[in-house]
Amino acid sequence: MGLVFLLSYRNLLRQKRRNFFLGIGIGFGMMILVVANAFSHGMVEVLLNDIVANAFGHLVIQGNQGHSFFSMISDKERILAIVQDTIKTDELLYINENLGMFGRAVGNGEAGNIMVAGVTVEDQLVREEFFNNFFTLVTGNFEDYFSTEIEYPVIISAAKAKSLNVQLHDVIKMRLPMITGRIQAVKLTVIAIVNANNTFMDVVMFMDGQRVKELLGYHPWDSASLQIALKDPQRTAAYYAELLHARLKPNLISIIGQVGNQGGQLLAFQNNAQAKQLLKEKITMISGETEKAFSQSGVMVSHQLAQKLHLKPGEDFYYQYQTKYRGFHQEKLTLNAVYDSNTRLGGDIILLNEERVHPFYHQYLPADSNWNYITANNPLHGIMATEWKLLDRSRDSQALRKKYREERQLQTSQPKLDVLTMYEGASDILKLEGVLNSITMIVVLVLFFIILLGVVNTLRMTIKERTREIGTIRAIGMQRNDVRNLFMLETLFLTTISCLAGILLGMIAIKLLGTIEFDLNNAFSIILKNSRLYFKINPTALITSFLLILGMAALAAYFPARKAANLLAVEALRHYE
Amino acid sequence: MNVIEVKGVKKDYPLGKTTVQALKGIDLVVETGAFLSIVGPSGSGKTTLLNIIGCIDTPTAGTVKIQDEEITALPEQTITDLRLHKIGFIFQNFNLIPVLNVRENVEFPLLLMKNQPRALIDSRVKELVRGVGLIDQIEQRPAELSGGQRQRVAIARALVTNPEIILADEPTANLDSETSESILQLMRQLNQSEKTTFIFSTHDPEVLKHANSIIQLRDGLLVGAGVV
Ligand SMILES: Nc1ncnc2c1ncn2[C@@H]1O[C@H](COP(=O)(O)OP(=O)(O)O)[C@@H](O)[C@H]1O
Ligand SMILES: [Mg+2]
Repeated sequence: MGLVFLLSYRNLLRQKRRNFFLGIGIGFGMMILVVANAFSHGMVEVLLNDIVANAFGHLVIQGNQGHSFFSMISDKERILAIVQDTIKTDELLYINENLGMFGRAVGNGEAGNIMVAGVTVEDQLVREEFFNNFFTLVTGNFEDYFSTEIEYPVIISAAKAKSLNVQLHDVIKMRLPMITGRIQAVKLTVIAIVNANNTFMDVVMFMDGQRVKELLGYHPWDSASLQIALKDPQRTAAYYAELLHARLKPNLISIIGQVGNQGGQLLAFQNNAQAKQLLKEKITMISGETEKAFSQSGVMVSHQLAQKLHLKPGEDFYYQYQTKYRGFHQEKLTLNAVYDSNTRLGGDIILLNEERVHPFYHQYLPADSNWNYITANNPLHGIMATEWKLLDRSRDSQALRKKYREERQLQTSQPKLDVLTMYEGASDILKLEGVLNSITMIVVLVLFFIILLGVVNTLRMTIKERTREIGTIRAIGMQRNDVRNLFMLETLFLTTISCLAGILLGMIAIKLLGTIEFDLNNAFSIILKNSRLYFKINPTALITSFLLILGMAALAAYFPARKAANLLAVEALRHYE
Repeated sequence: MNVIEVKGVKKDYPLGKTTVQALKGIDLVVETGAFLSIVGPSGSGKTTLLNIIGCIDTPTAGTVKIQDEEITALPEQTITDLRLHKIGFIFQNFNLIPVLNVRENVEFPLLLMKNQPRALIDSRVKELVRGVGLIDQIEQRPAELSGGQRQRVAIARALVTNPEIILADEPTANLDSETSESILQLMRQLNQSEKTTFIFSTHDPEVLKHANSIIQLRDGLLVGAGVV
């Protein structure tokens, strides 16, 4: 075999000119492939890691309250505790509560729509990343970000400052829609003008997250969403998403409270036809209007409790309970019906349609609950209302959008909770890399097809020129397979050397292209990092394409090489050019 | 002992609608160690006969035995192997591999044999290259050598595997008479020292004086045999 290697290597150097041009073709194709691959890989990384991960975290828990457009989790502490208990400390980077608000901003005579990102920088790591890597300060002082003297301090990009015609310490007026539906006018003070490292951030103003929360009307115990940053998201994000999803299963709604001095537990049934039908079968009405009792504002009381309270259908009563965060709450209820407490749901029970409960339950979270009052083997367990609806996990962005669309169509005030990772939230971006790579691959394959025609042609010419030599080595005693390998190896040598040269050239090209500064202010600038194109070589993709090209070359060389091997020695020896 | 036995060998070539009968029935026996010359005018079938004996061509009819082994029916791979081990070729056009130097050209058949110890290859190649008087040119490529030198390399290459038979088809046709003389002398000398059977064809009467036996071909038939 050493002989075959030596011969094909020496022969490769023989037709220098011909092989040189062919090699340049292959190398050039490989170079394009390297640059294109690195470009799409780099672009996806910029989009994913710099934008998606920063804005959404690696893992997100978000919810919303019924029909509200705003994202909201009503009991932040409870969810946080679950998160902290689920994710190992050494795998957790930090948990953020960032949120954004949109509105119309007016500077000095100039106006525009703007997004204000509420970024909390309590965590040291976040603070460093935010102030040191996110942008470069043009003028101002980052310390003022936390100042309580200034009304609403904001950081603004130089580009946006220009478009609003504002300078350092100027005031921007903004009209904000709050979660309550009210519109609020606020004055924001520019405390720093910066150049964002990613142009995507150019259109955003930054304000302390807690202040944005307040402005939008969130309570301190709510959160818009929890963004969880992990140390090794690629490995752990999906795993923790599943784990969290399992642990965020809601309980059945239960409030321990009283009516006057009489204790009573409030429960809720699901507001769907099936649930109501089953409930009608399991409990017996004693008095009142069944129809009303099962309506969206339905209120029932057990016979036992109704007697204690001397309460009759049609009468109002006040249900009081201790809340978790805001003292006592009193809810005025109108009794629709009394049911027989000997059947199911015995005890001092007030039973409400969930649609009647959700609106106040999440505003006034109960301090005391008895979540296990209705056990899993109770036939009514499946029809009782839960605190929230935990949405199924989605595979990718498409499934995610479909899920949200379907949820929006459900007319319910039940809050929802969803667990997602940036990989499914941004799976479109990941798909983008695949699409871009496919496009380059197709282009390059066409290019290589042409090159491979060159390989076949070159090999044919070579074989014709060396016919007598083939006859000689066959006569001397070289086997057919060795002759075939000789020519295939020659092609593969050339391909390998050219590809390696192409990879090297590609890397040089990437370095050079990466130094060019672009002054773009359009949609394309989103792919820039620090005003420069960002490339990142994907070794797997590189090796795959290299092997693919090598395979194609081998295939192209196989047939001419086999033809050479099958030449008859006598005839080959008789060959004269 | 007979190293070659040719019996009733015929060779037809199709030529348009007719056939050319290159060999019309040859019977020939060659003894081990012979230095045999095949003479005949151009087109008489010398090359065809040598190719058939050398196992790179097959007869249309008849049989060829090499060391009592009938070779016409052997599979291709076995025949290739047989050529490698038992037959050496010297061509009219030298047919050296241009990308290999003298040493590499000479060791080429030994490398094809695989599993030959490197030291053995080196000593055998050196011995032969010295024997053909080219030890100073051992690292040169064929293009740097004269015709006579090239044919010497070819002779060394043919001998390197210690074959039973060396076949030379008009080995001196492309050389001047002085060089031809020395090439033939070299072949004769190696025939004696290596005890290898040599069969060479020629149409040059001058060459004949070196042969110890001669057969004559005319129109594909043997017309006479003799010893000089
Ligand atoms: N491949 C071939 N196809 C057709 N005719 C051939 C072929 N090879 C040889 N011949 C013919 O066979 C005859 C013998 O040729 P050859 O053996 O080459 O003779 P020599 O070597 O003595 O000159 C010639 O008439 C020649 O034309
Ligand atoms: Mg001839």
